[in-house]
Amino acid sequence: MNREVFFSLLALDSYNRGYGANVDGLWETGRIGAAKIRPFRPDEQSGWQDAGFYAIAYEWNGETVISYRGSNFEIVFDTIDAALDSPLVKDIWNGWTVGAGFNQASQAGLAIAFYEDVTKKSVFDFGNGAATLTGHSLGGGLAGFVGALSYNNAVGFNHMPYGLAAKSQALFEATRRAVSALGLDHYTVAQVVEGIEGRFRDFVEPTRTTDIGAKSCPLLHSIPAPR
Amino acid sequence: MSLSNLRLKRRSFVASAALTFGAALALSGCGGADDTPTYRYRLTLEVDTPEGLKTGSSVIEVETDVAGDYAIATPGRVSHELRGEAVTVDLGDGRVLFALLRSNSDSDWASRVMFMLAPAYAGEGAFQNRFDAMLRKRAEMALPRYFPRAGHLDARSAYPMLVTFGDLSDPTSVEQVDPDDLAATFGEGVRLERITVQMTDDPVTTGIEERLGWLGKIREMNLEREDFPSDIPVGDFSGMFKKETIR
Repeated sequence: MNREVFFSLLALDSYNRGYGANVDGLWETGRIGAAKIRPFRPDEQSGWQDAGFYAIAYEWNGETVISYRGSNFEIVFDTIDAALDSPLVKDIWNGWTVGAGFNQASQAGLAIAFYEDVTKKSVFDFGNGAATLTGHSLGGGLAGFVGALSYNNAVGFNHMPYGLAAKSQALFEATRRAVSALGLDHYTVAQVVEGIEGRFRDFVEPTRTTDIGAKSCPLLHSIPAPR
Repeated sequence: MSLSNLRLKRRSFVASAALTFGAALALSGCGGADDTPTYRYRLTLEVDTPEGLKTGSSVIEVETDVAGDYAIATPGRVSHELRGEAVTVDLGDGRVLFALLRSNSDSDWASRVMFMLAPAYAGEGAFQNRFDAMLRKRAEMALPRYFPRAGHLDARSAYPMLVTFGDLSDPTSVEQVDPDDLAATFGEGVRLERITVQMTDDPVTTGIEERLGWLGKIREMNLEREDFPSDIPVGDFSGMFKKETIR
């Protein structure tokens, strides 16, 4: 079977497992085609339903694949301002602050946590080929987000934009490491960002790119992980 | 750059993101807020024992949302949120039977059981008619052993998953209980009499964490899948006993 076609099936499969499954009778164990479902660890899904998040991982011909489910959102807005308050925004990219990055209970935070649980690697451990990410709609956006942070391939289907979210999270991590490496522990990350005028402007300009290669994280490359 | 400017840039990003859904934006005002009512029901277990009938019950609250015709990604999708906890039945001698918020095959059992017991309708408005019929039924109902076969699905257990623990302080001592043979777990003379459900306005039951101190702390215990019996789903282990997705 064509590789991308099979990824589309895995992207669909995340809608059919776990809580709120679209299809009855499918367990969170077993196989789909040649892909074997990775067993969940105890309470690994804690907080998922609260956040409207779900993901599932597979082993497929020696490759680890993570499929993120997309949340539903209603088309109830008729102005840009209303769109900013839509469930789309609230469900997906809310929870990011300069001081703490993405909240661990947000969809983005949970997407990172699941990636790290499955691969046993930090999302900032670049280019390790630890997993391929996939998903549809919001799930595709989460796949691109995690893929961009971790330099792993992602295959999204009608996916949401994710580039700025990935840059924002990379910004937070870079600043956190800089604060630690420079021994500025008495400052918070937020205070450091506030104190630097203009430096982060280029990082957080809005972009329409959906290029998975959001590799322009110079701050992150140049600062080693704190010991 | 101040934090407020960073937030403004983020709103600009979001505006850009919203514009990429241009076709969807054209369908303005076609969704609408969902007003499907929230309801509560009491789940009760009755167990015959040599010492007499033992019972336990729990009030569970269900919020149902029906996605609009133009929702993305799945129009018309029915989703649920739940607030409540598993039923506990004290059988004496420290033995406790738990009826979970899921069945063997359905992790959303507690969100759907009342709807599944309502008469099915056909045609336009079938879901709403069935939902309304469910709300109107206030009498106590005994659960059938199985839901009828439907489409590709064989007859599925209509009962919640039943479990007990060898040691209530040790989540890995969980053991599934056969509803058709409680005696195999609890000894001769112990038998499930029936399981009932009934719509109610009583407050949602709370307090199970006083009995199960590890609820919500499983991840801190660094337990692995292999520490639990293979027939017990563990991905949302604590969630089988208590849910608070409705705030």
